[in-house]
Amino acid sequence: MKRIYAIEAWCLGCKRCEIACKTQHSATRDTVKALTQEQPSPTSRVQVEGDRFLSLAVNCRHCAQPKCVKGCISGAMQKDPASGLVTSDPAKCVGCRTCVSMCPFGCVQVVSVEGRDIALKCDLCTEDGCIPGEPACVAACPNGALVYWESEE
Amino acid sequence: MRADYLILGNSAAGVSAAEAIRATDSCGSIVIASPEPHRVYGRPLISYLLEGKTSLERIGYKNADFYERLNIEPFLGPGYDAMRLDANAHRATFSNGTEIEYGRCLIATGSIPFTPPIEGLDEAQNVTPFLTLDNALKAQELADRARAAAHAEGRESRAIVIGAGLIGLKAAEAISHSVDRVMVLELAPRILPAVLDAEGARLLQGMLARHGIECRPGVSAQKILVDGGTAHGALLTDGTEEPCDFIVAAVGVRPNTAFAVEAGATQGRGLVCGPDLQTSLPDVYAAGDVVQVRDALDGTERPLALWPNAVRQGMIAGRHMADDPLAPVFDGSFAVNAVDFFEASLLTAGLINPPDNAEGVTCDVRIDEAAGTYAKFVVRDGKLAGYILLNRPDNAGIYTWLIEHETQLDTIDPALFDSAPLNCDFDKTMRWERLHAGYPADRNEKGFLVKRECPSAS
Ligand SMILES: Cc1cc2nc3c(=O)[nH]c(=O)nc-3n(C[C@H](O)[C@H](O)[C@H](O)COP(=O)(O)OP(=O)(O)OC[C@H]3O[C@@H](n4cnc5c(N)ncnc54)[C@H](O)[C@@H]3O)c2cc1C
Repeated sequence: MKRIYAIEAWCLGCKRCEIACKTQHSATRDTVKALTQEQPSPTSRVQVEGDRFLSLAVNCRHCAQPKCVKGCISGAMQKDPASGLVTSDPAKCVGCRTCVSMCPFGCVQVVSVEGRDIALKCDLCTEDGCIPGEPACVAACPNGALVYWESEE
Repeated sequence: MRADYLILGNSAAGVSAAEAIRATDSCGSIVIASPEPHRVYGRPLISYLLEGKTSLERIGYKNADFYERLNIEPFLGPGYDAMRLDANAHRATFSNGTEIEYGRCLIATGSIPFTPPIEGLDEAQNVTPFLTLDNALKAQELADRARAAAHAEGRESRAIVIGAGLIGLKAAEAISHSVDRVMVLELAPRILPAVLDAEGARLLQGMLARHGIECRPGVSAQKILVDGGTAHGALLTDGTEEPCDFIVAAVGVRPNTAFAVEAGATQGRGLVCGPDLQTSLPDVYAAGDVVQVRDALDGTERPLALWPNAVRQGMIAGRHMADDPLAPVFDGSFAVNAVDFFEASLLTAGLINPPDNAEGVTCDVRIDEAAGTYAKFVVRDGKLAGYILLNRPDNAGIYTWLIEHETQLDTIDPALFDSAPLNCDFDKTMRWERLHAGYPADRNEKGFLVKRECPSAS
């Protein structure tokens, strides 16, 4: 499958990826409205870590053997056998955080959405059911610090 | 009748094994049998169901077409309790008399309640365990009835939960939305004795009290006061009497293996299995709560009664059953558990209560009373061996990874323990390796194309 990789040598820590992710996962898909008006305010699934000297943008690895999927007690977290995509079904998730205790990279967050705690994670921007040319975070990165390449596993 | 693969148990371990078998063997016949008349559901979700956080439609662990899509024949419902196993004849007999001959059999029958000898406990109709979906529905019915009856009498409705383990406390949380007062009895000196330490238990107990759940560690029931088949109170071990409208019995569980042991399977604290998860009986495998597991951290042998373990063992057992040449071995595991109570989250892993003065072991404890957080890290021989995280869940899986990989902590930024751990707390090499599985071999760390190494022409 194609995966997003962080190239930390080029990361400026500008967090444009986070903003693009929030916009993509908002109701309006309008950056200004998404960031200033929407309730619940959209959650970025990519996290920029670090400081001025070292930064990198971390995203779900869509692991070949995802621990979050094996651990999930509700069946919400699934890996699509065909595309390799790992997603969490908000209708089934009960917010127990087993996935949070399992993910080796810190790539699942449990957030309160409309009064329910649910797990949110990177879906490679397939929310509408289509695989895009490039996920929003990769497209937004001004410096080539996020790439979307065919991986070798 | 006959099946190439007979799976006893329709839950985490059983369906994971069936899926693994089908991935390897596309045509062998698979039967899944279970006495519960439901398609596979998330057992830990039964408390969430009562809280309205899931529904009977959404509690299904697999999609509705699971059995059909994988060409599995489900035998679900009363009558499909495996009663006898004849390993030589490769035959199982069920409570309704059905006999099934199998090529290979998986025992994935999970846990059953361990009922302590408390006088009167098995005489009352308003007592339920809390292990199955039907148990949960009964608990809800008892709670609704109790509330209606008590309020008609102008008093508070009351429930007693016996046992403050995970299951007892989840049951208490679930019914607390329907009854006015819930009392939880626990023989051990603290709540959640298996997954918490004294300090964490004290904090959580205080939080539960604010939600109307009174925990009484150090106190259990001596005798259930039964009148005309109905429990109306309990005599406690401290000599006092406590009235109640109904009781949830959640003292503990034990592996559901009587028929396997009768058939000759070797049992320690659970079924003893080889690295391929085969029991001592030929062609009989086991997975999930029934299996005795070697704890990778303290070397003890006992069942690891947790959902992720059941899924993992099911996947491994299934691949061995189907003779997958690449099937991995099962070589022990350690507990990782996440649970939430009301607004609190509790994540635990590995060793959490090391013996006092254990050599080479230190505990790093961080309490923030104002924020309501409590974190404890157990470090052994310079490696993380366990954690407790109360209300500090973020990125906890990074700690779990450190335990699993036995990473020497001196290579890592100690800031890792101050707040949520980060990928950038690792050194450059480890950071890259962790995050770049499958990274194209013809690209370097800056993303530039590099020449692939040519096979030398010597
Ligand atoms: C209320 C509750 C909350 C929990 N919360 C958590 C949690 O948050 N996290 C976690 O990791 N774990 C949790 N657990 C534990 C977890 O549910 C178990 O570890 C897991 O379900 C074990 O899976 P299993 O497949 O081994 O067995 P089980 O889930 O116990 O299933 C056993 C299956 O075998 C069937 N069966 C029983 N007897 C027979 C027989 N004689 N013949 C044929 N079939 C039979 C049963 O009907 C069932 O289908 C919780 C458990 C409970 C009850």
